[in-house]
Amino acid sequence: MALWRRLAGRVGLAIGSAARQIRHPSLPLRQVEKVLTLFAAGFSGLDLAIKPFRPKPGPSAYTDTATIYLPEAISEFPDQELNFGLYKLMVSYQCAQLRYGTLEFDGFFDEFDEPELAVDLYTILEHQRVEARLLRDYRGLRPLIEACRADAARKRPALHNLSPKQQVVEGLIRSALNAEAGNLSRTALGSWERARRVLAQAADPEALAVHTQGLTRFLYAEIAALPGRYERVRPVHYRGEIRPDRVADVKRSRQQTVEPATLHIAPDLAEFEIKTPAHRTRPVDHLVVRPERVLVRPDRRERGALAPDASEHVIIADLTIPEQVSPVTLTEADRQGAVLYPEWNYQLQTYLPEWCALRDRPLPKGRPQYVDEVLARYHGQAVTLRRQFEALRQDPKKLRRQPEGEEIDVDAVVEALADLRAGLSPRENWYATKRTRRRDIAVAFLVDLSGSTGGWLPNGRRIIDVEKEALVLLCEALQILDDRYAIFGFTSSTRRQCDFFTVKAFDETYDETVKARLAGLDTFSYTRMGPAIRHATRLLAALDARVRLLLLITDGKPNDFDGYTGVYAVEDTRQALLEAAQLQVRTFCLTIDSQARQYMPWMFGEGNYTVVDNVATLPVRLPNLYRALTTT
Amino acid sequence: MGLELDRIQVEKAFIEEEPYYLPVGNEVEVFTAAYKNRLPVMLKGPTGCGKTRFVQHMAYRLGRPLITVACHDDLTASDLVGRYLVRGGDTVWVDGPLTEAVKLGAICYLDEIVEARKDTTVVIHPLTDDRRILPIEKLGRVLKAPPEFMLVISYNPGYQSLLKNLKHSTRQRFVAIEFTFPPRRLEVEIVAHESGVDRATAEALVTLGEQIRNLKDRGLEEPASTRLLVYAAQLIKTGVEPRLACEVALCGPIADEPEIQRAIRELISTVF
Repeated sequence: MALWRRLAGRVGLAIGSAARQIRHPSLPLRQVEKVLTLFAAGFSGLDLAIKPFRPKPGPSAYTDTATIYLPEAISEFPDQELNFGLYKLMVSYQCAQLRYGTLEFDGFFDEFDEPELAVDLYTILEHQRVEARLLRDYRGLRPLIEACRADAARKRPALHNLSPKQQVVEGLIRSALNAEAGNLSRTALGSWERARRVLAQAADPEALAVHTQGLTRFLYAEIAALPGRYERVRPVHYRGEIRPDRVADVKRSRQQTVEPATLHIAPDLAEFEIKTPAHRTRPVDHLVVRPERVLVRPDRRERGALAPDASEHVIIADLTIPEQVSPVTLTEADRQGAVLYPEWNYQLQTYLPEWCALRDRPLPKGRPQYVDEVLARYHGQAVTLRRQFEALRQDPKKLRRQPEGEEIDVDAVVEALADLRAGLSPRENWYATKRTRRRDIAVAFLVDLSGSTGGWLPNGRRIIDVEKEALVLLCEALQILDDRYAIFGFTSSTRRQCDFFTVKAFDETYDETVKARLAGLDTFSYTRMGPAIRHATRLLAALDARVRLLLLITDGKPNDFDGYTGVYAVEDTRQALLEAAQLQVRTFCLTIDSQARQYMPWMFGEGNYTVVDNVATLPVRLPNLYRALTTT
Repeated sequence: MGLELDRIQVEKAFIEEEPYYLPVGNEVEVFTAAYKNRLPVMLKGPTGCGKTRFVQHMAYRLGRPLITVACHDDLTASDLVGRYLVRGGDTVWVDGPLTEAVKLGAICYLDEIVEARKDTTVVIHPLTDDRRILPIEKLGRVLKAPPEFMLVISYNPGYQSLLKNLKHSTRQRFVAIEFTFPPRRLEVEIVAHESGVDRATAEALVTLGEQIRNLKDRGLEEPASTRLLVYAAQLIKTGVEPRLACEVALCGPIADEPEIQRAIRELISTVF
């Protein structure tokens, strides 16, 4: 058996490419995707996604500068550790390309008649430079690079089927991999020898991408003169490939990004509704689109087209014009069954009494299995969160200097005796008691359900979906503590219709009914924060607790389409928060609006808000935020 | 008897040798100006970025003794001010570190002030405004602080706990100096100086530190501090294999989640 193996190994080596047929264990990307994403973030300092693709003919990698694309699975090595190493090296390489300017080649390839040849030459030369720099700066990568280089060299295609141009390029790749060039045809040989010297020049860690461009021009002139058309040769797996078209796509889309990311549609267009791909119609006055871009071509007759260009980052939405908004006065019908709240008018510096009508609305029930599905998806994180929340549950702690208790506090007694001797009257706090110091926290989570939370994220999901998952993980973690908590949602369509939803009331247990309501959460219309905050504050203030906290989860500024915008809305919200502070209700905001730093410090106060830049992390961030906020 | 006092970890001393400190901005000038104007100072910043070292350095520069109190949640007002102790048949008054500092005209450094019980912070209030007095209730005396006395507190805003935030009435009595991790060039110098490793190793460690800091807000709450980089460097200097040194100094202390730990280990094995 052993002998057979050894023979097979030798045969495999002898026939070169046949070695590839041997099946190795396969490492699927999804198994290591998260670690690689974190690694890429750490290594590059950039916010890069990782996505699978199906490279042909062999494993490869590339980046469009926003995402790194990797093979769905890697099975190049018998050792899974090395298969992971190949993934890691691919990511390092792609990050290095971004860091070292490899992909800054604006239109460089347009100047060539055979751009494929130019791209391949640039790739080979530029990768020599990148590798030289990686080897210099990251000595830990050396063994990995050597192992992958040797493996890549073994798997190069045979020369005899290649055209002279391809032969030179293939020979160059082999030289780059420190392998024998093989039997080049006589036409190719001379060019290859000259090209090799250029290759040596390229491998300079101090050089820049522009230098490589110069070398590329030179080399191109040499090789393009050979007969025949050029067809691309197979990329080196760990180095991956350069795809100018994809880089250009992303670059173009970035240029079209409207800054700031919150796009305010002009007032006369404010009455637009947005139709999401789910074919639900929601009015919005602004679209929160991040980090993507939006082009607005509102067609007032029919439908407006929002934006679309080919990239998957685009939020595709149609604009339609809703019915005319009538002037607002609170009629009897408006007041029917509503709690009325005042609103702060900063221009008049006064409250407008009984200005907003807020109603408790029932929530549609969602699928009962929803919560379990989310928990299954976030199993690992849920376990971690549970453990972290366990730590919050305080073990019985000795409370010292108590007026009564089961033990004597020796320190206190000694101090009291000393005080007595000194002729002072001591304080009578001589006891210690073992008691779990109750956290005694009551918290209301107030979730913004405005239409903008229906916005699509790059991963093809809506903000609200991620928010819901965050709430599920939060509830799960909160089961461990005895903090009293409630979850509310809110939305509005003018002051006549401020809707308030109770997912879980303070005195409700987290049961099937609550879970079904959680599953049923969806997006509605606008964000009038004032009345919702006032209502939640009123509910919180009625509770007896040491700490009462109102935690608002939102994706943007307060906003409603009857003039509740801009400074007016911010000022009313701020006033509502000041009212909460007066009632001993602490307030904190978690927002995913990247522009939030412009208005949050004024509205919530410095240190009373946090911005989550990467919405996808919200499910873990929210419970962790709560934990941090309430750590004693 | 001395137990209670030991627990507070009083460090009192004139600092004999100049503590190494590399200024990042104008913090030395600001601190000196605050001292001259008898203003209390708050040092804000993440853990391990050099706040304590800075105070030691300034105490040396200004030629004042430094009394440091590491605050904890059992720290009471009498722990700071002082108390009567019974010794033999008599009672003896023993000054707390704060009283001592006022009497000595020292710099009193209350490290991690938010950790202290809320009532404790109130005793410092009369010392922090223009009265500059310390009432000692039990002695029925009021101490007036000499011009050399200075109160310094440190505060890590990263905590973000609503239950333990510094009250505004306390915060607004201090001049704040913000600390962050030093820029690359300086951090390399600090790591090399503090540990004695060669420049290349220090560079590599700082690179690694930067990479780990890139993971902040991705599950990492407090990133790798300069102090931890120095620890790793010191371990390397004494012959610990670099990857292992980084793992125990830069991965274990800051991350619990397996995926973050793995990512940090992969970064380590890239740099070393």
